[in-house]
Amino acid sequence: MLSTPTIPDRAKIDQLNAQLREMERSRPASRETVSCGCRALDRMLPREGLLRGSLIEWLAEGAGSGAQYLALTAARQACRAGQTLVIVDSSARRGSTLYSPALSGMGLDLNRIVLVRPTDEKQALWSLEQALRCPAVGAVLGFPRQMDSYAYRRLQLAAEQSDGLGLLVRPSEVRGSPSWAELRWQVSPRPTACGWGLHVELLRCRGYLGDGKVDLTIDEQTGEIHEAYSGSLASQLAHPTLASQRA
Amino acid sequence: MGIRPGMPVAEVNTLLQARGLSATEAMTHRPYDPAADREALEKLARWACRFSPCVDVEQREPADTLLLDASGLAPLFGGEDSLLCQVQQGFARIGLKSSLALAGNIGTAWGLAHHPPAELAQRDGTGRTLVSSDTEQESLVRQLPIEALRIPATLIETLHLLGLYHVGQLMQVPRGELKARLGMEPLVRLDQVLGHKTEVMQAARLPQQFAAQWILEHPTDHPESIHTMVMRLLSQLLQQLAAHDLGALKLTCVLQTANRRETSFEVGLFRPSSCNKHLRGLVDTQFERIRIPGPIQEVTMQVVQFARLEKRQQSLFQEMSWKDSSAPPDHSQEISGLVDRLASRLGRDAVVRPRLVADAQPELAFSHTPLVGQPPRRTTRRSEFGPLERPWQLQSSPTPIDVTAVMPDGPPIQFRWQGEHHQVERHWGPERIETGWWRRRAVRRDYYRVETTTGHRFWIFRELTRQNWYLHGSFD
Repeated sequence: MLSTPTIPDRAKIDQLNAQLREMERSRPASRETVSCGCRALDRMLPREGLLRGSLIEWLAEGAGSGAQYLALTAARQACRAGQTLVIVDSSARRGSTLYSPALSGMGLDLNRIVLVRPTDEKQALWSLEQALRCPAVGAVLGFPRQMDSYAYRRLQLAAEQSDGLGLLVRPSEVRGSPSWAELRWQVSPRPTACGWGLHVELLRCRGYLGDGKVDLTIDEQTGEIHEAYSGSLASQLAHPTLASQRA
Repeated sequence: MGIRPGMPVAEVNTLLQARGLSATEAMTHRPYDPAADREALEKLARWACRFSPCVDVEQREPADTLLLDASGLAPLFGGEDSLLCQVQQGFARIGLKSSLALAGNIGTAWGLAHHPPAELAQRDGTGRTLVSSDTEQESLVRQLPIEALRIPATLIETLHLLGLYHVGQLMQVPRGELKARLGMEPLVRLDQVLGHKTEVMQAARLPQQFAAQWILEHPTDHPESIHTMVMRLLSQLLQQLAAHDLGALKLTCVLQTANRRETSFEVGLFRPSSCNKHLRGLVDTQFERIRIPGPIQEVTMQVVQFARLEKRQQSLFQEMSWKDSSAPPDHSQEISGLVDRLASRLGRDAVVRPRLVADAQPELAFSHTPLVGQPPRRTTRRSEFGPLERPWQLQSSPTPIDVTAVMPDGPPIQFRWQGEHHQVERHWGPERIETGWWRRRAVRRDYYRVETTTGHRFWIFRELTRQNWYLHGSFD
């Protein structure tokens, strides 16, 4: 006997699709977002912000590339409501340390920072996971070099459990390696005439196929991050929105 | 040599020099500090609690006497004389020479201890005076010099001028006369020494101590049994703490074998806690790490630091109020749990709070204070630097680099670091930092923030004494 293929109605398919998407996520997508601290970056993201309870990766192109600045800015945004920021600083083994006067200068409250200084990579991952699991922690910043799918999964689950934000700054050498993070940015500096220029590329964003690239400028005095204007200064000043702001 | 109490230091120096001694070698002198003296006496009073349940430091200034309530103690020490003997031996063991007196009231005992009667002192020469009966006491008091009355030196001088040298003489002066001429004090002291007026003693307050010990008749090296003992001791301590509304900040546990070999571990906490489950977890992680040196005979656990528990009002409808209020729920409990877990595995010094230190030398401008094992402190200092003025990664020690500069004192043009060549495109500076001369390690540096042609930013400085260049930080 031949079975006649039945065509289900459109609504049913949509409903099933929605269910599938829902099942693909490890948790319902009713989570709040945190701004990156920069409009241009927020605009590139499907939810216009960083999802709480997820992992965000920044790949830094060498020392002095400014990736940590973006990560710390996001951390500051995530800990606005007085939550604690945990920094797992494994850079001490590489001969440097996070410099507290600079953190304070960026507007981070040192009273709300817990600095963890593990001695090896294994302990660093363990500390990251423990900190992410804690509901009182707004964001966790870490610098893991080696991460396998198992480590990603553990961190991801921990972040989901507490709705904290896991911020990972990693060297750009890991660019080719697979990532299970929600977002992966590549940050490279770029020479500019005024301010500090950064070129940010969105390498990976779950559920979003766009290929985002943006040029940013950090203001020397205020430290604010803006989108770099393309074109000449004269045309910038003549820009209607800017002109109206100035008026 | 003729050196007496109350002599000026300069006079003593002259005396020493006259004998051919160098003053700095032969003499050490320290400023008089009555508060420190009293503190030391209070410490000694706590030590002396081993003899009497009620020990006090005398109220008079300057204090030099400990008062011990000896009522009912004699039978425990095998008689009054034996009691005095044991107390004196006790002080001798900690290196102190003591003069003791046991009498029916505080005044008499004080007088006899400071001015032991000649005939009694000669009799045994030990510095112990024991008054056995009331009649004996009366006669001894009569013979006491008036200095034994605990009255100020000016009053003693006046009495001496009046030809009164002994308590007995003073007793014969009509009370009305005494009061009119010298005020109430000699009368009060006289009544005290005669036992007509009672004097109250305040027991020195012992600091609370929380310790528990378990001594085994048959030593064991069975880890599970030892673990059980440790946990029982912990529960005991926590019950003691809870009764006083206190929480532990730091615990130590010492395991001792029969032949006095020891192993110990410590548990530090971020916030005081008396939560059994939380502390058990922390003790467990430490216990797993120790190596038991042999059959354990003695387990001692002590709360080294404790503080008052922070009380929080419990909400009756917790769920509801949490949902209703827009304020985020209070998470201090979770944070302390996290900090304790991290610190117990990574070590106390690995979980820290960054702080700013007012120091011009960049590598000394911050400190890391451990979060566990000490009461929380907040910092109010804020950095005066702009967001891009200081690098967020600082080299642990400045790295020497090769730099090309056009002018001898000019800005850098290019430099090599970690085998890579960097061409400087822009620079900010120099920012001169000259400091540290009082540490005898003066630093003179010209700092530059530089941006390379690729846009990377670094923080480098020229050491001005030797004209060497170093990389000190990077804007990662």
